[in-house]
Amino acid sequence: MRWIVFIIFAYVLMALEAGLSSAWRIGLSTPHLLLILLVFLGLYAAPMPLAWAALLLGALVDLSPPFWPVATGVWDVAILGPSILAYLAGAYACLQLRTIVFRDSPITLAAVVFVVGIFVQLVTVGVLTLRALPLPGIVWFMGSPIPNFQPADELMRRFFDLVYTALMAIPLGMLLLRSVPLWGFNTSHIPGLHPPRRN
Amino acid sequence: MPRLFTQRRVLLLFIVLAMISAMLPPGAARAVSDWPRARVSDLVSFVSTPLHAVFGSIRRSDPLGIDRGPEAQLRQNYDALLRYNAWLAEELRRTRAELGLYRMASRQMRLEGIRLEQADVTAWAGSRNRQTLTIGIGSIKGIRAGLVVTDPSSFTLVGRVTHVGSTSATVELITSPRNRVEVRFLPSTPVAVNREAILSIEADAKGQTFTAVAKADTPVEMGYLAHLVDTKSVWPQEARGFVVGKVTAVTPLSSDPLLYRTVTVTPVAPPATLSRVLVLVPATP
Repeated sequence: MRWIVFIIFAYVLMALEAGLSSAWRIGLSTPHLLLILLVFLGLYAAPMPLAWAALLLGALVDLSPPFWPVATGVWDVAILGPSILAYLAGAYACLQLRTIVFRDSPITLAAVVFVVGIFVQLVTVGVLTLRALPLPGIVWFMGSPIPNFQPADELMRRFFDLVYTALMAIPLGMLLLRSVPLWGFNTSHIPGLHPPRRN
Repeated sequence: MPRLFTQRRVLLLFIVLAMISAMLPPGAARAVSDWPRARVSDLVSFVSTPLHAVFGSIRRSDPLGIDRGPEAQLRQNYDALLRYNAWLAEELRRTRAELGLYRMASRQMRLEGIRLEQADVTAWAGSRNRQTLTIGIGSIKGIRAGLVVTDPSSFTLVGRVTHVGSTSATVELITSPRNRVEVRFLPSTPVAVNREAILSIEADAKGQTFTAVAKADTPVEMGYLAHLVDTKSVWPQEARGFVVGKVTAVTPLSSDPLLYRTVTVTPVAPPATLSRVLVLVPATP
């Protein structure tokens, strides 16, 4: 995988996600373009580059708004970690799924985005919920709940985000699939899969 | 001799660090994430700021007009102006009494010694309990957490700064879902009011309007403006008196239509679609 191509795509998609957020929101739901990129990489990239890419994409998601309010004071905080772990879990889910799907179709990409997205959102909300658990003596610093954080509410909102993201994965998938030759993927490690389509 | 730092081990180390970082208390989490957060925001803003400005306007609805008085009518009709002036002369005594009210309002809006910093909006973000704007100025221009942010065109309240990087800042919108603010309802035109209503209004789950339940005899009418009062000192002093929104509906409460009414307040300009804001920076923190 060519890392410069990854950086360019990650940057452009992140900027699009931030810049278009107010224009294409439906209610509070906005699509997560970086999740689509993760799934695209999950279908083609080798396991180790995929893990690093997932780690970087997760960190970018954690460092992007919306951020989390804190109990005291007038400020918010970016919690670095939940999306990193979630994206790594999502990358692992992709690795398990990619041998059983026809990956050269944007419809496949959208379907995998939806399935993998469920893992990603469950892990994110799970980790954020775990913060609130006081475990004195084991992990001394835990027990910092996010004010007004309701896991069920959060999962509901993220589900609608996910549906929107899966729909958005169809047009974006068409573009990403056309860009496959740029990425220099080595697909010899994926048993039973033919090399990426060359245009 | 086996290598200590294989790719797999380094990745595992990062995963462990991410797990620890995800559990850190807010202060420590802030110390860890502040620098990279500011850098990411700076980098992304190059592309996202023009995108937000262009595409944000697609969703921008026409702002609700604030009726500043009969000036437009008076321009069209000179006779009406004369009659209005005569009426003003007759009502001078009552007006003087009312003046005390507006003096109080002007005392509340303490804008002396406050610098206005204009900022481009980089991005909007919303979640179930929070809506924010990212703006393109930060601590270099003297921005700090807690500062009041207003709309430069209608000069209505937008929100306040919750996080500051060197060249970017995050603004929590006043329309964040279920956000509560205390407001005083006053007519949009300078006419005498015998009684005024102070209510606590709450933003709806989508962060588009505010609602409050008021007694049927509460003096609130359609078109009234809701000015921030904030008796609990949640907001900085300079925010008091700013318009939060305009009353767009007053309907009987379905469960008790005879005794209570639901008052709906809509922001004059939807904060999520703003492409530029003003930050009120007091000279002394």
